[in-house]
Amino acid sequence: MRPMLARSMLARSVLARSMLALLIAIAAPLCASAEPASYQLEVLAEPLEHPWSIAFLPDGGILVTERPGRLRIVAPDGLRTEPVEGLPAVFASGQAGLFDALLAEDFADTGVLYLSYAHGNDDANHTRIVRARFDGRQLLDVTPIFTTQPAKSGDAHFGGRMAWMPDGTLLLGTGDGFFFREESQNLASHLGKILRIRDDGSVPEDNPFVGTANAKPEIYSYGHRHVQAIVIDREQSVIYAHEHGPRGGDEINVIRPGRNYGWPVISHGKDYSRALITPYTSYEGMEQPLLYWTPSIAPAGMTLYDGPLFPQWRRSFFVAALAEESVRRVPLLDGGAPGVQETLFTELEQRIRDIRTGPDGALYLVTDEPDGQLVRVLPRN
Amino acid sequence: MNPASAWRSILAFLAAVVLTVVWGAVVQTQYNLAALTGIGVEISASTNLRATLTDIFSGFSPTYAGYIVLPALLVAFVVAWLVVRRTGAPLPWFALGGGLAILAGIPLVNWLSPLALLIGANRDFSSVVLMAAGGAVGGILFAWLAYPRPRAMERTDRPYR
Repeated sequence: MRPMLARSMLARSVLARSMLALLIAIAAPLCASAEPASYQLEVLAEPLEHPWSIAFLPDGGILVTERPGRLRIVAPDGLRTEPVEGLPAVFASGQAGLFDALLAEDFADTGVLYLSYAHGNDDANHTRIVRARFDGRQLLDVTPIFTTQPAKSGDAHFGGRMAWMPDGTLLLGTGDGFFFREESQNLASHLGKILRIRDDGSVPEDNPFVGTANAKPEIYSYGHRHVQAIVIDREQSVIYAHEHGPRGGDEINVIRPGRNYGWPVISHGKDYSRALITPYTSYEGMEQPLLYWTPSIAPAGMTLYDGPLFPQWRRSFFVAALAEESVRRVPLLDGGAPGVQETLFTELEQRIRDIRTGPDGALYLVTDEPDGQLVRVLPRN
Repeated sequence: MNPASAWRSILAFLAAVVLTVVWGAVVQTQYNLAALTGIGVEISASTNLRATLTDIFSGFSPTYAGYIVLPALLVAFVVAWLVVRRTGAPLPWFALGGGLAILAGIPLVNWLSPLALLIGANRDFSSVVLMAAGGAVGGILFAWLAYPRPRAMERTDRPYR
């Protein structure tokens, strides 16, 4: 295990300290990330192969999914060598693989957890959720409860993030499959949607499209490109989700039932070729994002921090960023508007896939690398 | 090749690149807009024109020119030039070379690209064929500009009267 990573390795000599102070003085008015580090980074586990999500066990351990299809346990004394047994077969290719792990709210009593993953093969695949019971070593009673339809080809844009609603229903974000972007506007398809199901996979009767002809009843919102995180602000009863845009146009949205978030009819991004995907950035009946990033940072996981260890960071989103190899802190102002952003943890120099608030109030993140890490963020002192 | 004919070839090549790029830009814009109208989005003629001009004059053209058209036509036209030296008939050979270059160049760059697809319109392979037609037209333009035309030579050979 690596020792603690200290942020200010430059400050080893008087000269270096002087230069650093000068740089900070010059850059401070321009860059919100130039404050002296108030945190330290601690590597808890490595190597992890493309870790994708983090879930905290009640016994102090941490579950980490690895995209190739493994579920790893990071016990308080370190990474267990053997992965959890009994996982379902996962279609692992490109962006496809094992995605999220979400514990049931009564996990401490039942051991029930939910996994999302890519199911199928390159010609025909789906995003699937299974429910299973975890006995500390293996998964038992693995049962698929939901599979997106229709099948699509290719190994891109599956979504896969899950979150519990306060009423005990489950949200799942999906992707448009990359080649099928118009499906995001098709209510007969699960692609490019946020879906809401019960914990057994059945459809809540108050979903917005229940009873609508030719609409999938699981749809909660639509017009998404590639949902990468769903966060419920239980204090304010607001659902936030973010998604990848193409070249630019990554978005954080406030999710409301039945609303259309516009992809691919409206976008603040362009095609990878820099062509217009659409001439519109707004269109009647389509929602505008809370904020968007152009150029893209490629947001991945997200947490709304409200822990005790960093009081200065309370009521801030922490958004993991793949392309930018950073975490963006987005403070939420009174009224829900986003404040001035801060770019953090760039010293890791790794793509960051997920970030969560731990039960101890620390931040935990995983890096999307072949030899990725689980890193804990603690106050500096 | 004398300097005058070298310069003529260079200018002809640049003209062929520009024509092929603009042709391709127009084709892919129309595919993208058609995909939107296919899901019920209203796009007026003026919005269509504005989007097309945006793709030609801002984002798309440098990408398409730099990654695909310029290298593809360069290789194709060198090969066509070698063939034409033996066979004559530049117009069909450069048209064929230009068309095949784009037809192969787009899938090749998409395959080499770390992205799932560089040009979104190419989700439909017919768009690749139509963009490749631009390469063929570019080849015709190159042959027309770079090679002396027989009629013009006949005129210069005519005795003064």
